[in-house]
Amino acid sequence: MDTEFKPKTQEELEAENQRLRRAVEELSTLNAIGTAIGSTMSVNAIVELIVQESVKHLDVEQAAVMLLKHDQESDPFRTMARKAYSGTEVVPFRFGQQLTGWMLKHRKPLLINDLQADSRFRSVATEGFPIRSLLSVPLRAKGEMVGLLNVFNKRDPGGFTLGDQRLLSIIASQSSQIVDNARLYEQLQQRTEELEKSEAKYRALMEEAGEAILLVSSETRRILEVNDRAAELTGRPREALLGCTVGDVILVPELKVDATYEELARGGNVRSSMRIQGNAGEERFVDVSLTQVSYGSDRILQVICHDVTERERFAAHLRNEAEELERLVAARTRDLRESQTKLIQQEKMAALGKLVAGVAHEMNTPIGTINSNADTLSRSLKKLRLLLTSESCPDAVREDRKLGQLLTMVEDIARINQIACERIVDIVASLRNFARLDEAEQKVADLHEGLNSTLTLVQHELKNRIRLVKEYGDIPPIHCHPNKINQVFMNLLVNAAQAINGEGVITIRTFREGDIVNVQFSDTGAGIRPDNLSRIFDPGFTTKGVGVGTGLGLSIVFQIIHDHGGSIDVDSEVGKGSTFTLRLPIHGVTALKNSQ
Amino acid sequence: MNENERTPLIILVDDEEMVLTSLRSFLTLETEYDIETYTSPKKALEGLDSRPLDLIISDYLMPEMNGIDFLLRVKKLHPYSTRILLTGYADKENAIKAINEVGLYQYVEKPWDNEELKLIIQNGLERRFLMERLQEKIAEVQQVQQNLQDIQAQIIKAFM
Repeated sequence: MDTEFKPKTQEELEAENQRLRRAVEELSTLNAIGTAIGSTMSVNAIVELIVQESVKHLDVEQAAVMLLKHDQESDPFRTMARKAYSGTEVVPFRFGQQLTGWMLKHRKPLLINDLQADSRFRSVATEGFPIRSLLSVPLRAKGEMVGLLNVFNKRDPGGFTLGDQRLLSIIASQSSQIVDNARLYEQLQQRTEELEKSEAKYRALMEEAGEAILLVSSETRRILEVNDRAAELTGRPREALLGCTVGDVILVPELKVDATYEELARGGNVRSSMRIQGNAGEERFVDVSLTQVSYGSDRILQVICHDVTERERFAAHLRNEAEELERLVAARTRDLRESQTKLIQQEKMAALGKLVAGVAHEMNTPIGTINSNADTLSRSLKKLRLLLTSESCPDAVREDRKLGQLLTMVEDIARINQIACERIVDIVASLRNFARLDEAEQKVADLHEGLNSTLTLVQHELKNRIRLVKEYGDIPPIHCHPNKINQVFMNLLVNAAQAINGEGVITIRTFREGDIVNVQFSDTGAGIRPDNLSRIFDPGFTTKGVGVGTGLGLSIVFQIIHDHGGSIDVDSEVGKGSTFTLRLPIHGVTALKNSQ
Repeated sequence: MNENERTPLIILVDDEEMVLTSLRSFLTLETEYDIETYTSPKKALEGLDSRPLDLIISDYLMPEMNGIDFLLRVKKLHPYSTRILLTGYADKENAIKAINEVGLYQYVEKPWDNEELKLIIQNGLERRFLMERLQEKIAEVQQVQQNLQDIQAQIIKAFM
């Protein structure tokens, strides 16, 4: 500012006044533009404002702004920003290439007051708008040219002055940065809008997918985003899930975290069935699909959880049902097999019984004959000896030693034959009595008789090594199936004999307790180990080794006694021997049933 | 027996020759009876009606007919004969049921005891002869009664 004050002439004052007024106008224009530009961020609005203000303050017929397009070289000016204003309204502006080409090349203000005279721009004109004079300045931002600000046809006949150029340059410099910012901002907004649309689209996709989706950062392994379904499934709000690790949601150890991330990093897709904690704290089953996707430089793990709990529960239910069924079938099969084995064994025994009885009866006739003959022979020999020793017999014959010896020998043989024959008769009778096929199902039978018959048959098992002690008490005949009871006696006696290694004693004790008859078989044999004691009545259980026992003897004993409404107990001590006690109701199983 | 001078006749029927031989040997040795043996019940029945019969022992199970049916026919021909069933087979129940029908004197199971069988035969014969004598006495009584009736008729005729 000048410090020196000098008096001025009227003209000088006028000029000074004019200059001040214009400066004020310029300043207010710039201020208005600045304010307006500052208050709006729309490129169009700013451009419109600039052209309006330029027309007004530079007193021209028309103003136009052209903005450079960064991404398209062929038509560097953006169509949207070609705005021209002629005082009434802002219209789209089209302009010849010559001017813009020159400006792009030289990048400096251009002032032409007589366009017709300038050969460079003779053809420059706006559509339906003859141009006489023009002023064009570049719009710069950060040193780069971003567009042009043009004004056409100065109303003042003097044409554009350097002052106009200065003013327009100021307007340009004032607004170019803002225009560019606005343009960038608009672009940003547009991009943002596009992004928002896109995001909305993807969000909708994510939400509408119906599956729980979690996006996880591959680097931090933290959850970046989840959808509503994920929150619903886990019972945790979105906010609580964000920042968690996948392991917090999906129940480890099923998820081998490191291995999974490595697999995914190789571009693999991991599918796995896992468990998660459900919203009520319950365990839920999910089919998880993990994929790594890239969003620009970010690598995101996309976790899609398909809830298959119901399916799994149903499957588990089915599995349980199937297992239960299998168990039942197995048990049933085992039962059937057991009863089949028993039946077969009983059938075998029955068949054997029939066979024995048949054989025994077939033997009756020949044995009857031999037995009778042996007796007749003995009687005949007695008579023969009487004859030979009688006085009527010639001495030569009576004293013949050879004849006497022969007679003695034949007598001995006949006697032995008779004894042998009697034994056979006993055995056959016992066999018949044992099988007792000639009898109706249930009858009243004397157990002592059955015991004796059975003992005759097992005599060979006892031989001379086992002493038999009979302690028969006073017992009444009982209702029973005698052949089956005999089979029980047989099995128990054979077992007792087999339990005795070497010499020993078998004691058979019978006694009555009210309506129950007890039959006890005690042996001085090896005894039964305590751990085997509970299994001895199981079908197939044997300690005798292959070929010795079927393992069915005691199970059949048990069955028969059970069928008779009785019970069987065993008392055993290893090394001392065993005692089997049968308890049979006197009146049989029918009476027992009736009394119950 | 002492009154009846004739020797008792015993018939044995069994499809097994061995049984017949045994029984005949024993009875011949131990008794004085006349013994006839048949392996066929039908043969045994032939001409049986025209001869006396004291005691018959039959097997039960035979191919032609069973002992019960056979003895039933014998009963019709000789009601006072003593009939004994000697059986080796198991059908005791049925046999026992038939005892009354046949009027069986005794049921003997094979294998039999010679001594026991001899006693049964002796007792059976005694019974048979007692029956015969009873029959004779009844006939005598009837004859006497008839005579008395005749005499009574003559007396009435004489007095009329």
